[in-house]
Amino acid sequence: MLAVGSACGRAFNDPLAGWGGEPEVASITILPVDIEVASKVVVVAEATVPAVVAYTSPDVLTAQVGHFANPLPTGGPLVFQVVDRDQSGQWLEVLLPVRPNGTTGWIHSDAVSLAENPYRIDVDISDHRLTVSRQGEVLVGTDVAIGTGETPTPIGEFYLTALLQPSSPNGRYGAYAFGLSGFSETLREFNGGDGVIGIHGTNEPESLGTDVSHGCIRLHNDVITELAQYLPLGTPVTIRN
Amino acid sequence: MTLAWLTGSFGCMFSRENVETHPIRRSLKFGLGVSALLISLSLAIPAGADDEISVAPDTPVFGDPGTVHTIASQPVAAELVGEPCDLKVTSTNGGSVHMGNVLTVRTGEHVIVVENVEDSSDASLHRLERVTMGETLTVELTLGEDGVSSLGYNVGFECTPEDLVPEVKPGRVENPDTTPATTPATDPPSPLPVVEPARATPAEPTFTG
Repeated sequence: MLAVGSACGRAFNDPLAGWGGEPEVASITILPVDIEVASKVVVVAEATVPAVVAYTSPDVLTAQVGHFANPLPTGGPLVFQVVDRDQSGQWLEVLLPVRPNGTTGWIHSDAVSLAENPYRIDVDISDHRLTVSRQGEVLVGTDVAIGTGETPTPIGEFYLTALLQPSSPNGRYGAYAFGLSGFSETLREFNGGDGVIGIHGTNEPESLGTDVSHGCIRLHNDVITELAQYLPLGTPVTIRN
Repeated sequence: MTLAWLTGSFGCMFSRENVETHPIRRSLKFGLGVSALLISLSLAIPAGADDEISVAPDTPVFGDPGTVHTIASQPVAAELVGEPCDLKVTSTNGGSVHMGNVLTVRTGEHVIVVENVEDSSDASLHRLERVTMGETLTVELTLGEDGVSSLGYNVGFECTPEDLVPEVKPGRVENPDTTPATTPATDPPSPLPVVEPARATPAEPTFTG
């Protein structure tokens, strides 16, 4: 019952329908690229406002999926991986850093700026192998440690949400730690956090290639240090078995 | 006829800042808040008015009860000044309640007042009036009893298709062989920038390890 000059192009959600006629799909192309194109380039949305609300559909009147503060509590920017958009281009469906893993929601394009991301990360659990590629070209292939049988690394599609630099590179998280949009499916909290999965270095390089973590993906410190130099937030991460 | 719209989500009140212009449409934008109040404002105006003004979110603003705060004010395109337009205002409140807040939309000699826009959760109010556009379009909020309101929204103009079709004069014979080429309705796509590498934040991770 409310009237919003909808962001959905012709799908003008208007209780006063009929008044003024159907609006033109006027022409506003927010996204210059086809997000659904099966290229290796994905679109990253970085928040430009202090808070971003995600809805269940491209309409502010629908239920909220989440409310996300910008910047993050750790100080970094709030980013999303864009997975779709509506016809008008004014609404973006994004992967959300919430439980359950794989949750998506719709955010308004006015709240973010968009950029292309040519990178992606693939993790093969059974092979204990992480691969970084740029538009199909493999840049890095490295052994990783993954979660144990009791605390497995979750399978699915995620993206990098944060890059943290611990005070000591010799700690359990190594020199750098990327946060993922995914969560452990067995741990609701860990080390003061809420079970967020990370890709990080390690002070136990001998553990690489084994199932020893609480769900995170451990890399050699040299590798995570290299990745921290060029990987953008919003980089998609596919974890498969 | 052209239809314009303005939407808003009131979570905290922002003041106007950082006005930018865009050749395609007109809009005033505020960041989406916690969804306390949403406002929609529409204009039916002649075609050709599509351009855009963006207003970035600012810090929350609070004031004494009764004080008037300009939420947005934008110039009306010269070709629209003096033109009759249908002005539609819709407000929808979310969960937060702030008694007595009044929304006022002004253009030219016309004033549209929507009272008690945040008096109850999920309230939805509508106004529709024919106005003559002035040189500016201004949206104001008068704070009510607790001196609190908050918002984020944008304003945009969209044209209705029928007004984009040239009027055919009575008795005129159209020659299909001489039909003028159509003009694309959309701007050509422009490339997105490539995302910058992440900048590391000094912080102790709390990931699952």
